[in-house]
Amino acid sequence: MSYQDWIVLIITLGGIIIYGVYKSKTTKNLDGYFLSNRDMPWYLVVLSIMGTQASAITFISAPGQAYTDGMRFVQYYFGLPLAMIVICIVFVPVFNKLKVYTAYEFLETRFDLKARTLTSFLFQISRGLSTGISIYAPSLILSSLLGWNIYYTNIIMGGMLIIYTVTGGAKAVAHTQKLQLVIVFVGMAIAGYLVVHLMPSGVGFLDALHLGGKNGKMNIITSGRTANGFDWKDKYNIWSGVIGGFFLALSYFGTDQSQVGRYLTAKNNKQSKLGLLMNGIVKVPMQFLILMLGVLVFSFYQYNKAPIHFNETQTERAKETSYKNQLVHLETEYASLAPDDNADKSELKNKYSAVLSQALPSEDVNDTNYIFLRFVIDYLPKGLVGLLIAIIFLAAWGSIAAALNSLASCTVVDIHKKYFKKDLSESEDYRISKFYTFCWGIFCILVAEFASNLGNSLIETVNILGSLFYGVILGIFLIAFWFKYIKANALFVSAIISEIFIIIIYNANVISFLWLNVIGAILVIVIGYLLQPFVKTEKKIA
Amino acid sequence: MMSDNRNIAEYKSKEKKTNWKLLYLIVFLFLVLQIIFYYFITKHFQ
Repeated sequence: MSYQDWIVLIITLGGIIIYGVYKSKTTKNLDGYFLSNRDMPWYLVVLSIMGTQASAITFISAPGQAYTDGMRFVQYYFGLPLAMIVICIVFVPVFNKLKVYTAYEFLETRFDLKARTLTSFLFQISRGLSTGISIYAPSLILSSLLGWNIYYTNIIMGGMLIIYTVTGGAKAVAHTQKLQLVIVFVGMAIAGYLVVHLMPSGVGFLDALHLGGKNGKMNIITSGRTANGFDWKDKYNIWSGVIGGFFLALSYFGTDQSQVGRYLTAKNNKQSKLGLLMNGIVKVPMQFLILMLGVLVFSFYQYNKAPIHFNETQTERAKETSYKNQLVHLETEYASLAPDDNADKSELKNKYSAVLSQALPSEDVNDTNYIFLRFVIDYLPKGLVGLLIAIIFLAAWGSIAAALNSLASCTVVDIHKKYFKKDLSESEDYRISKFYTFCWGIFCILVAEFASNLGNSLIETVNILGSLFYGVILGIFLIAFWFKYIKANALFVSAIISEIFIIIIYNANVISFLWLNVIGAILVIVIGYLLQPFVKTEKKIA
Repeated sequence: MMSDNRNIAEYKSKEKKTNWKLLYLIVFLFLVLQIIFYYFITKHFQ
């Protein structure tokens, strides 16, 4: 990076931290720290919801995904607007009426303390781990591309935001997310404009899309059908997107405290609902545009030589092994091909990846996550590279800050105040809330430091991790809302059995991960129904 | 007097009921229209 890039990066990140601390003044109690005194208007709520969902991996991984697999990933978000409607009708009125701090508090009212504790515990495990990955994933890419030390990058990625998250709680989180999103959108829009601008003269935006389309990258809607019928292992098609995506979004926005905590900060029911509905309108087009950036980058590389492997430091490491000659030979062969000779390029890339995995058996040789940033570093002007790197940090901070705030709220409200010290003064509440936010920050950085190989796409890894728990958590909430017949004990046993089933199904690798959300939710309900007659029921007011 | 005016404004704003069913319908139809739009884009750029 040039010194101009460093200046832009340091000013942007420093500015956000100062702004976050400046906005930190809250009432020193639980309501102020975790829910910003419930005073947020809907437009801040929607920005906070979007800033929480869109992590750094969304902006790094999605263009790379479109580059390699086309735009069909957008279908994953088709269930989201439908989920927003259901959450507005069913979840929001209940949460606001009961004036809860966490979504799981409601489960104690409906069932009992152990149902609340179990669900809150499942949330804290899955969110704690996935937040660790949200720190590690962008750190790995940045450290690899820019030659930074991964351990220090993890600390900066996960540590700097702790300053304003600990001091300012939900209010600082929401206000910084607002500023972060504005910078992220401006930066991505400039990057999109420059990709088209860098094409040869006479090649415009639509030409670039046509070129991408001819190479199968504009596959936005796919049916999932093959010659042998519907492919249940196909990750992204309209059915898995609408049905699986609906259950995933319902679970994520309805039962994940990192999101519930965002719309509970709203002034009232109306502002919460407006924030969620606006998210339902904006999210799919936003994701569509980010993916389109990947198609444009693909078209750009039809006129310019793309590297045979986008992760250059990995290539250098592999060349230090006995496989150097094979790699160099393949690189020479690749260099002799025309940029638009996609069939031969693809074949050589596959051969190259195979040699790389032999040379570096413990490493993931998929370079999908490196495509967009490699393009940024190689082709964008000085200063803008720094801005795009800053965007990765800001996007990461937005979602990590919300996660830390929600994790701390669950630990304080669902665990500490229930099992350890029930009667704390407001100042003690405030103090332990800050303490747990700090502890979760350290935990997530430690997860990032110990994270190893993450598989094909980082965005998928986070989604898979979510899908392992979300279905069961959603099932618990669906029973709470609609299946009054099932009581606390049956629900508790059913949830544990279902979670074990989901892990078995995932390990068997028989179905795409998005369906795990549907299966998990249905399993909890069905098993709960079957168990209810045989399980002793404690009397509880619904 | 100012206080009276504010009370009347607050009362009127409370009286304005949000038509939630219409908003839900708009979100749903926007999704359907997008899917149709994306379908045609998929076909067009093949």
